Amino acid sequence: MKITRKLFLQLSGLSLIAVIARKLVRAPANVAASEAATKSTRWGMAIDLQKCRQKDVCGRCIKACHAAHNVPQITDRAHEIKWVWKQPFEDVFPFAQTQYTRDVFAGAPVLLLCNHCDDPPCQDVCPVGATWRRDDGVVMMDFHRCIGCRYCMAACPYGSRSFNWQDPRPALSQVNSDFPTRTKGVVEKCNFCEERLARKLSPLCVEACEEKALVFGDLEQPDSAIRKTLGSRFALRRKPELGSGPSVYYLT
Amino acid sequence: MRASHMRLLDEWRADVVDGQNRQYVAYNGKVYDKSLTRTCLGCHGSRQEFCDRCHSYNGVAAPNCWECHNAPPAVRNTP
Repeated sequence: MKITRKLFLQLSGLSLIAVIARKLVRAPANVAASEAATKSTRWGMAIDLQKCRQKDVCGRCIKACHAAHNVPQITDRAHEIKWVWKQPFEDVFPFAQTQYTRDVFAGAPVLLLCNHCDDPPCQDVCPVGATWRRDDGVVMMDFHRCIGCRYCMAACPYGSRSFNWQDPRPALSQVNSDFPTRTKGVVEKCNFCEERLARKLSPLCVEACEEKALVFGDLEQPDSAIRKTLGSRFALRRKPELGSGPSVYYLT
Repeated sequence: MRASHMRLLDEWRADVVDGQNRQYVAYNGKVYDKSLTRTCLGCHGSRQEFCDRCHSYNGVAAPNCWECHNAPPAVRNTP
């Protein structure tokens, strides 16, 4: 059969319609599939301040984290490195107090760590893509890529990032060989123990806490421990007005 | 491996840090952890023997892996 110009045009038109129709039919199925994929995980943490205060000076979580992640103990505050640390209540929640609670909570230590924001400002400012938010909500860092410009430190509203002004190795009393140290000129922060999450383990600070003051879990799962806790108790987040969407909650 | 180990390390690094893909399945089905210190240096136990020897002989300035990654403790060269 000889293909005439007219027949050719008719055939190409028909096949074009067929392709578009197939796409249209498949589109709703794709949307359903992507919705199912996003309904996976969103890691979050709730810190029970009352339980945490019971042992003011314990600091087990900090010690466990810093030992495992090779975080050096530098006494000079200008050079200090911190992944998990404590700060007085009035500095952390300046607007969450009244004149009466001020006396009670003055100086009460509050545990701080990277908030693993929904919309992390540190990610937006990084010029080399060394920090990004993973699908499960962990704000990751690639130490290889970090050029040490410290934009992220300026952008982070929570002061969760530290800069290595010096080689951290001499300041480490013991090196955990399973986790790399960092080097001079690199920014670092809490990674929500992503190396442990990969092995289906909770973060170290959560495990180290004897008072069980830290609850870790998946905020997307309605039956997870953290969702039940947040559903039953009043919780604060740090600077929610900024819209960064922290995933660390404080139970008052 | 001698010619393209840098590519392997680069790909593994991207897989682990960026892609959360930590396991490498070899052609024979054997599964390896994508880790410089645990997998590569786990068998080739010495940085001096396994990395530095070739790198210094060829005058190739090594990338600064060991400024952060922890090399296994230095072993004395066997005579």
